[in-house]
Amino acid sequence: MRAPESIVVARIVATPDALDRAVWPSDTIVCRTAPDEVLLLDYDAAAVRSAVADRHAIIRTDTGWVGVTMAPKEARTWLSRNADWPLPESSPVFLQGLAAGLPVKVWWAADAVRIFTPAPCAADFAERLS
Amino acid sequence: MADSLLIQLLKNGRHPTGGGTLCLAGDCPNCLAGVDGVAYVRTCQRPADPAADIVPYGGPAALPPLESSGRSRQVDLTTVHCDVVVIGQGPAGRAEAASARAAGQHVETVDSAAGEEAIGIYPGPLVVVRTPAGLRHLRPRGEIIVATGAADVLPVVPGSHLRGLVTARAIPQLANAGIALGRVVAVGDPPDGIAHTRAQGRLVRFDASSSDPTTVGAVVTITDDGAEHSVEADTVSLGLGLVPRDALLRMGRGMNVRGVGDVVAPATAVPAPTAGVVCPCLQVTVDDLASVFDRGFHDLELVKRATLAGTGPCQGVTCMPHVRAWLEARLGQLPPPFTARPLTRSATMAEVAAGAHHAPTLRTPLDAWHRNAGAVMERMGGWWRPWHYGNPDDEYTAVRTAVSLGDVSTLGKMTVAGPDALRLLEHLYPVPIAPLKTGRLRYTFLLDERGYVIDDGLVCRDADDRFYLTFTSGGATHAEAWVRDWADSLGADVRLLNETMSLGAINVTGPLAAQVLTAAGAQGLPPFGCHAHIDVAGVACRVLRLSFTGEVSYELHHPAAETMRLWRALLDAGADLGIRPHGLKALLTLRLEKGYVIVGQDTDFDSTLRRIDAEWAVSRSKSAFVGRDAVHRTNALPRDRRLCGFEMEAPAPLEGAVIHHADGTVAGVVTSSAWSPVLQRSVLLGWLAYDGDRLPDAAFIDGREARRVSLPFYDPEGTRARA
Repeated sequence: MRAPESIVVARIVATPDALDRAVWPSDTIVCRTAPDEVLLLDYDAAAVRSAVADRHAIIRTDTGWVGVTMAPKEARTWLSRNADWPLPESSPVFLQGLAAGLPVKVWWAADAVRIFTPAPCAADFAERLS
Repeated sequence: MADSLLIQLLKNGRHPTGGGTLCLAGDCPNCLAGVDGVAYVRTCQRPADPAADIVPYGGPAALPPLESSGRSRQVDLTTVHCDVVVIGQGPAGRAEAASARAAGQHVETVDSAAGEEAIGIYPGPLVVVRTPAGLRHLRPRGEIIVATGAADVLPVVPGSHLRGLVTARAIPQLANAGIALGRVVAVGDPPDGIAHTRAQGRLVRFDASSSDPTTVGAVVTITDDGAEHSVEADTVSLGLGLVPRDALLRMGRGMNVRGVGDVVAPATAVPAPTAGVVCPCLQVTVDDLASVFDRGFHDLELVKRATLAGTGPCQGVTCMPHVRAWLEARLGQLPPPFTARPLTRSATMAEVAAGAHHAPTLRTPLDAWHRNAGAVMERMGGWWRPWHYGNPDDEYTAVRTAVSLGDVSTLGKMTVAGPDALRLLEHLYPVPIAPLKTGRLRYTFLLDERGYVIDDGLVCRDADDRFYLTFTSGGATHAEAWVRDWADSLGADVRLLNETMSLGAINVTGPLAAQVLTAAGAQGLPPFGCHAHIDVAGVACRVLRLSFTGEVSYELHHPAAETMRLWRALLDAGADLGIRPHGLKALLTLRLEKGYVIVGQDTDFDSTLRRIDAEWAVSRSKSAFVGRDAVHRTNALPRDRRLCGFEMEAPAPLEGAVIHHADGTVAGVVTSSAWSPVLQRSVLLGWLAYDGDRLPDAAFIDGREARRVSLPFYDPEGTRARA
């Protein structure tokens, strides 16, 4: 199991309606963390701002995360031992919850699974991945 | 089939518990032993292992040793979500599993033949299964089917503790294992394929062998004509009937749980016992039942609690049919079985802890730097924080006389934006927010509906409809929930973003703070009470100018990934000015000299702004805010106690020390205490009760006088922080 690495995401808080209607740049991974919040991976910062039609939206480049990428089989094994929520039967899908006692977010694609957590949990994440 | 550990023991002439009827089916408590440091192992369910370290439990009521801490081990846990769980893989269970699978359902089975046992059903639903590879948590979306079959009725008569007693269903296993049975006498249903003599009549007792008082020598029965018959025996086969193995079924009451097969078949009616041990786990006798019954315990649940019958390792499988029959004989009505709760089996601490993790203690981006610098780290407010770097006095001095850095990344941080941002904050804070101009900030408290202080922090205005808030490190999570709850309650059109873990924060503090920042390239530093977005050492920062130390202070809030770079750049920039980092120990003294409270340390659960001498922090003219009515009501009450500043000579008393009035009555408690290097005396905050309507000028702590003084202790005009 590899060590978690820093990742950069975009966090956007806006009205649910604005997020529902947003047209994101292709190849952007959109994680809907709450009705009024999305977290973007692999995003184009310039294109993101124009995607959200809410002039009060809060848009941040957020460097406070660490993550690992696993093969789906490896992720399934780790999560089934460390999380009590159902694992997906289809992909891509976004999941979030507690795993190994840590708040994690999971982007589950067909060929790779990205699991990330706030950077202040990085040391525990590294320890609990092993 | 391979031998079990029990067979291995019996072949070696050992009985795990010294005696009692063996069922070889995992039901009775008579094969329990300590195995490899684990207590209460059912040896009949464990494969033989000549190398196993087995501790037999010996005679009646012998308490087994607890699991040795040196032998604790980690138990793996796997969670499986499925459609159906089938517990038991006898004919009925197999049929149910096959049927569900044929219907396209994802079925998980629990098979005792594979060493698996379901040890509990919890709401959820959740089925906890022990397997040779660890624990499995099965979470079915649909049914839990219990097909656990039935257990043998065990005898309750004098002598039932002897060796040589075996259920009729178990005897063939012993024979197949090559264990010499000697003369077999069958009571009740006979064993299959085993030569035996049948005992006639009702079982009365077992007599011990004349050559070995621990082993059965004869079966004594009584026939309808009243005649007693004694039949010599080396092994007694007991076919006394079956009772449903239904603990899991009862445990799952109210959930989607269904029984199939023998587990829902009627139990054999057993005769009320008249003598002997009813509960072999805890050695409860028929006389014990009579004793508690005569004292008024007539309900089965009460009899269970009064005698503890049914609370031992077998969880009532052995005793409950007899206790129910005994109560039926007394009450004329068969009571229903008692409640079943998890677990059905003893579990080790490692099993209980399987899959559990402690909540992480958070680490700032500078955590590794602090540790490499030799910091003594402490957990505070949910974070690892540097307490000091080896010389807290020098750290203190650096702040008062030169410049120092503090890692304040732990502070709660939140952005609030939207058309109703101002309305929300006006409702949350007891001071007016509207007059706060863009670029300004102010320190304020959060109150609950009862007017009690729940947190404090800064409100920074970024625009008419956008604000940046800070909270205490330990209170940030609650504060976020508080803001969100009120936004929902008010229907406020706002956007809320918690940035606590996304942003680092460094406090540059000391008389030379501005010089360090200028050397690091900062231009346009904000004046006191203001904030500004400035690049420092190439890092985009929000710089907040206020002070918690009493000296010039700039808090630099910035992207977390830049914290290390910024920290190093600031240390470089201040190297010629004597810059050094300070830990919490120094910070707590610095702030105490200024009389600043720490919410949660100096405040209590019922601290009002008036009680902490912070009436300046509430607007009397403000028409609405959380806690307003309570503030006005409590302000009209007679004063009872106040958080005060005290000075004493050395040594500084311990925090938590009791404060007394001159007459010896308790007046309060010390909440913060430190020796002040700059003032050369002890300074403290503490609660002081009013003496009538008067606040005493002095009190006594540890038998020494403490003088009440005005706050702050240091730089009362605040000129240093504003410099």
